[in-house]
Amino acid sequence: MLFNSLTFLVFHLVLVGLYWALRRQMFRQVLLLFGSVVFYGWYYWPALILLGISMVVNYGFSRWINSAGCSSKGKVLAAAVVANLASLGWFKYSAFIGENIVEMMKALGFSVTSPQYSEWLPLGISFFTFQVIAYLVDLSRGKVKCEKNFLVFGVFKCFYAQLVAGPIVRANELIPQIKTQRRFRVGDFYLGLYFIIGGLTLKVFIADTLAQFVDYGFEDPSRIEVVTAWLTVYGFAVQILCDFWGYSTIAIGVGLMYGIRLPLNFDLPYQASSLREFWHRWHITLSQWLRDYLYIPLGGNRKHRNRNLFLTMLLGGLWHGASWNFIIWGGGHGAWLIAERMLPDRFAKIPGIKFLKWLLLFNGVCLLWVFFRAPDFGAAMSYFEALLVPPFTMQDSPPDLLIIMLVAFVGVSLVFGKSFTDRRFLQWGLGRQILSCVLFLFLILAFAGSRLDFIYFVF
Amino acid sequence: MLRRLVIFILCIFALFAGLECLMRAKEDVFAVLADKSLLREKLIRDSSSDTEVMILGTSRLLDAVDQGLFSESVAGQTGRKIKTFNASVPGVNVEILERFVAVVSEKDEVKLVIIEASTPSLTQLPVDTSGQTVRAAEGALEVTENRFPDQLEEWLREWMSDHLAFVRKRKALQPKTLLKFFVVVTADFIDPNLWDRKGVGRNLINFKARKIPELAEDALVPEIVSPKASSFSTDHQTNDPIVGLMVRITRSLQGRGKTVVWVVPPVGGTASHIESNDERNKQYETAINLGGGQLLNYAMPALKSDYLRDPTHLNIYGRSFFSAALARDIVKLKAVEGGEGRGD
Repeated sequence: MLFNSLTFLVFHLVLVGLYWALRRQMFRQVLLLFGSVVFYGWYYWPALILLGISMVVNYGFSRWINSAGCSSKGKVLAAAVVANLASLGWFKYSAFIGENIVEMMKALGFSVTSPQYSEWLPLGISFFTFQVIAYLVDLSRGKVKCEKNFLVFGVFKCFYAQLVAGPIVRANELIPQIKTQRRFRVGDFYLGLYFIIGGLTLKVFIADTLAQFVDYGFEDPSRIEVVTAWLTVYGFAVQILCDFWGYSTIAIGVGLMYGIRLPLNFDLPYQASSLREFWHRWHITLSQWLRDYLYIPLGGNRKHRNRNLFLTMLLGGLWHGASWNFIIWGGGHGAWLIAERMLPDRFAKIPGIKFLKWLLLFNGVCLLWVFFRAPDFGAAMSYFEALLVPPFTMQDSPPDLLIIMLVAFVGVSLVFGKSFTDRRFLQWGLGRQILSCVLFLFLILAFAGSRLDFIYFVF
Repeated sequence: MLRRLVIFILCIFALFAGLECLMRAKEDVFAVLADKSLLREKLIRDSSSDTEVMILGTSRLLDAVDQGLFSESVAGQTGRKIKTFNASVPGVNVEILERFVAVVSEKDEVKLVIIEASTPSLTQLPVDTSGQTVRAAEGALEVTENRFPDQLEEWLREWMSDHLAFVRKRKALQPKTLLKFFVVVTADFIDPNLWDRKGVGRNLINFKARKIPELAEDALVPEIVSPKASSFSTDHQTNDPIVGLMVRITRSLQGRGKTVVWVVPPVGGTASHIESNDERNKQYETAINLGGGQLLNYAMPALKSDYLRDPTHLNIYGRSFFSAALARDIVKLKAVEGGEGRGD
């Protein structure tokens, strides 16, 4: 079920009504599990089999880790992580790895035929796999208690607000909220409503409107001119932010309407003036996951700091998809982060340096987005040609609507951006609250065209 | 806080209820604002009473002809000022074109109608929007039609559209509608085409491109198709839909005393072979022989990419270049008063 569908709105409102009508938390847990199963299986019910197996297997592993002695805990954890990564690898990376091996063998002169790979990528597999791995690791480290109630574990594993595209929630944040009796808090409910409306605005008004220009430009970069090519890259930078920020904001809003607080996933990342800061503001829960479960176990800051950082970003890139472009994208971020650490900040006192740093960072991030958006390496190179290689022609102006949407994004970010990251909406006057929501609803209504999927669904 | 939430929800409901009442009361106005072809039709109907030349077509002719330059260029050659309205609109299909023609034929002041002859304007049928499907995540899901989830979503959409005017006419709520509203209100005294989709600012900024270019003798010379007297027959019918449509339109306009000139706009690359090939040229020839009028075919040879935004649409330079060429050829055909020969 898509967050930006009428079916979801009806489904969610009915479920929220029933949730608060039920008195006992256990019944509410049953309702949330049932709702999450319906949500996940809505368009493709066989996907529930995978989710069910993952749930049962990981519940088993968690109990096993809990009961294992100190010496065998590590082995059980390793088995659990391998099992989860194997499932992720099969569905997401088998075709990529297999095809590259076949190509390599062919280059070496061997005659090899490509085997059959999984053509089906279960929705949100990367998200729920990472979430459960974090739980199992924390369990083995003694940071969380083992959840013995299968119902609670089930809701933690597949709570529909964050099942398919995050935020990636830690067990110690979510499980206590599922277990304990929730009290209806008007403020949370009200804020949840605002977050859902705001998130839909980011998705429907900004991301989906920009999508048409981005699709057009990346389909054949030779037909757009240099200014349009740059604006299209900026357009994609805004599109992917608003798409994912919109999703995360809706997810947080959905959680709040059940009295469940989910962690923040975006905090105006394009306002960052260093890449390190950018990653503290962009897809925050993934950045934290990579830090805690990859970077630190690799050695963190203690030894081989740069290698660890580069590898973490490389694998972070690969997490987004099975393609060389994602690896280059991740590697590019990794190399930049290393360079940022190595270069001393001698120019901090120069007036205007902050703006220059921001400008450099924003454009650098945008250029790396080209690898993220282009379907393959060749397409990315063609796009760079349109962006950077002269002769530049300027025979036609860029589309008006593309410019308008970029300006609209800046406006929405400056006026409303912070209100999607904290609880300041509740401090506003009633008139401002109503006017904001009416404006958002008008924009959603006016710009809702054909529903486009959220970009991060395929990750 | 609960009181505030209740007031908030009630206010939102009240505002949308008010909007619903307003839109139901003025549904015809909002319908025009929500649909660009209806808006154009209204603008044609309301266009000022001295508009002598009307241009009908798709985005190709909309991008190709700057009505101001065209009028200036004609005036420069004939010494007589004329007023032109480029009523082309993106996405015109056969049904919309015939609707526009019916409105134009009622306008006595219009003497010359220039109509686009191209694949989209002559073959595109209205789109059936009933078969919308949900796009699934690429590679993740295969969604087919007629599945319960899709049917439910479709049913919800249809229900809302059937029962709520603000959903039905929701396009009228877009911010640019404010501009449209202004255009509709001022259509009588401000040239509506000034606000076309190419952008007001751009039209004002690109002074260079808006100058009438000097045309070389052999620049953009069209192939002219005129009726052959021997084969002209008003009773002849044709089964070819393109020919049938052209004949029907030409006769209905000529019946109201208007001169008709069909124009195949210039295109680039392989598009020129699609727009001007043996079969299509034969159809044009038959249509002109049967229905009358004239046809100017600029599709061959293919236009240089310097003048094109994409293979089928001119950029601002191509636009001024073509506007001058079209004016030159219309004067040559004497399709406007003061020209060299009458088009019909």
